[in-house]
Amino acid sequence: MKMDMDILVKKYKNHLYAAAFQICKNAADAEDVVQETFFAYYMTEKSFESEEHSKAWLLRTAINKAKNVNRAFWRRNRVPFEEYMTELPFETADAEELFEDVMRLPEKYRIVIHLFYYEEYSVREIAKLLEVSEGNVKVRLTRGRKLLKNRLMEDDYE
Amino acid sequence: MNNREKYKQAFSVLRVSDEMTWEQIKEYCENSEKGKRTKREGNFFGEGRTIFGMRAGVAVLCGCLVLLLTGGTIAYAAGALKPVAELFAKVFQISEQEKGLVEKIGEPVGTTVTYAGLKITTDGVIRDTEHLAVIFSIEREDGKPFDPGKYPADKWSFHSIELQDGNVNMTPYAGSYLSYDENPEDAAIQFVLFFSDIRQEWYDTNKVWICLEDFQNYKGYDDGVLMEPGVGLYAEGLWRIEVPVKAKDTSVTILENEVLELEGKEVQIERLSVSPIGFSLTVAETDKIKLSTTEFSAWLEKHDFSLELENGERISLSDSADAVSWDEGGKGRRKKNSFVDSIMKRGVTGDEKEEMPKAQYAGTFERIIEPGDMKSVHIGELELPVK
Repeated sequence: MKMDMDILVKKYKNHLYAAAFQICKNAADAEDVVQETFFAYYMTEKSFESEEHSKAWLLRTAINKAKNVNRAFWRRNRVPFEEYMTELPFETADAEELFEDVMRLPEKYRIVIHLFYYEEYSVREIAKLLEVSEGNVKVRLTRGRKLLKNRLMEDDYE
Repeated sequence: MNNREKYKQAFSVLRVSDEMTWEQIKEYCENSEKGKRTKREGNFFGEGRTIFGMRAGVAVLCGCLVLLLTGGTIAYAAGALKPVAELFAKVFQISEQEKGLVEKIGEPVGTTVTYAGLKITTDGVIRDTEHLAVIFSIEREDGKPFDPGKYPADKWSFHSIELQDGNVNMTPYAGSYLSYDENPEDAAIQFVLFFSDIRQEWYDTNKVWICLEDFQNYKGYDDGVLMEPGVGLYAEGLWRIEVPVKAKDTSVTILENEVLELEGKEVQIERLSVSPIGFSLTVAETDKIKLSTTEFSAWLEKHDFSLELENGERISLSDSADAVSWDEGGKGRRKKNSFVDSIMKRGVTGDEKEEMPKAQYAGTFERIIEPGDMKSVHIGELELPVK
């Protein structure tokens, strides 16, 4: 089963963008990743059991593509992250501070934190999505929270 | 507000344009060569791809993600080390004439770090006060060779590569890498890292640490083919490798804190320098001269930015995409251009004062060049002699 592309894009483009941005830290790259991910979904011959399955596949693909772009080491004509931040319409100063603190984390902690808090995935689901062990996910969540100086306090994992 | 709500409130600002629809995406992707990333307004997608996870049946060497400082072993090479000119011969196509210079700016190292079933030997470095090239030999601890059919020698990399001075990441810098097999008879492959625009004055010690995380191979991914997740991780771990960097200053500063006029616009050049290994250009904003890196980058791409040698040869400093490959003993690909632009506010360590925004462009040359052979750097219509 594959979802209707119009619906898929409308529903998940911002989810993919946020996940890709966690890694690229750059709006233009993240947008490119979003487009390429949807196109990859369109082109794949894989079938999906459910909408959740489609979403997980999209996120995993977007994350991997974003890492791919990041691996290039260098950028051209990119709006730098600090400049981009000044354009974002944060609701409160706290929200802005949390955003900045999270974006300062090492990438591997950032993405796990994002999947846990934004996408509301469990540790097990994150482990499956990133293809790492659950122990690994827990360690990254713990370390990420520590680095955030406990802005996001510990939650029950499942 | 609970944690998830707090987080979502902060990150709900990340949104793409409402105008992004499936029709638009489809048209954009289909208009590009099928599956291939396009170069759009100077955007550059460098070589390197990250493919994660394990394919069923592929043996993966695993280790905990802990810093090497708490595990692993370090050994020092016994016996004579290879001369650095020989180590880098294929990488920089070093001629007889250049050997003397290379020996002056390089040194063999010979330390080995073993962790998570992988042995990484730092064979040698070539460095000056702004650029660094490091060559590693990587092999399995059990001595078995990597299967070149499953893991092509020119497709090795690491998920994350960082340069650190102490515990501080030395960003930004330009970088690139390549892998190849110098000697198919032995079990090792070679992995080469190039870093540019890392200035000696920024760090106090004569060494840096290169952090390599998650060793992987990108077989199954070619330019233009959409990446499939789940392929390539070979060894999971973090290798933190100490590299000597005390450099002889062989760089030549062409300009420092000068204002240039480029087609009617003023640009503050904080520094333009060349060395046998590479070049570096830093453009800064001042109280009077506002900098737009986007504009300047776009301008630079459309105009001449090259190094002219005494023999008339011109080396483009803003070229991209061309790769160099060779066949003897293995294949390697290297991007001709290592080009970065990033506007950043770099604060001085321990000092809260922020410097003005800057844009940096830097890269390593494909071969070692004697500064004495360099005539001038061209930026647009300007020709700046290399004194």
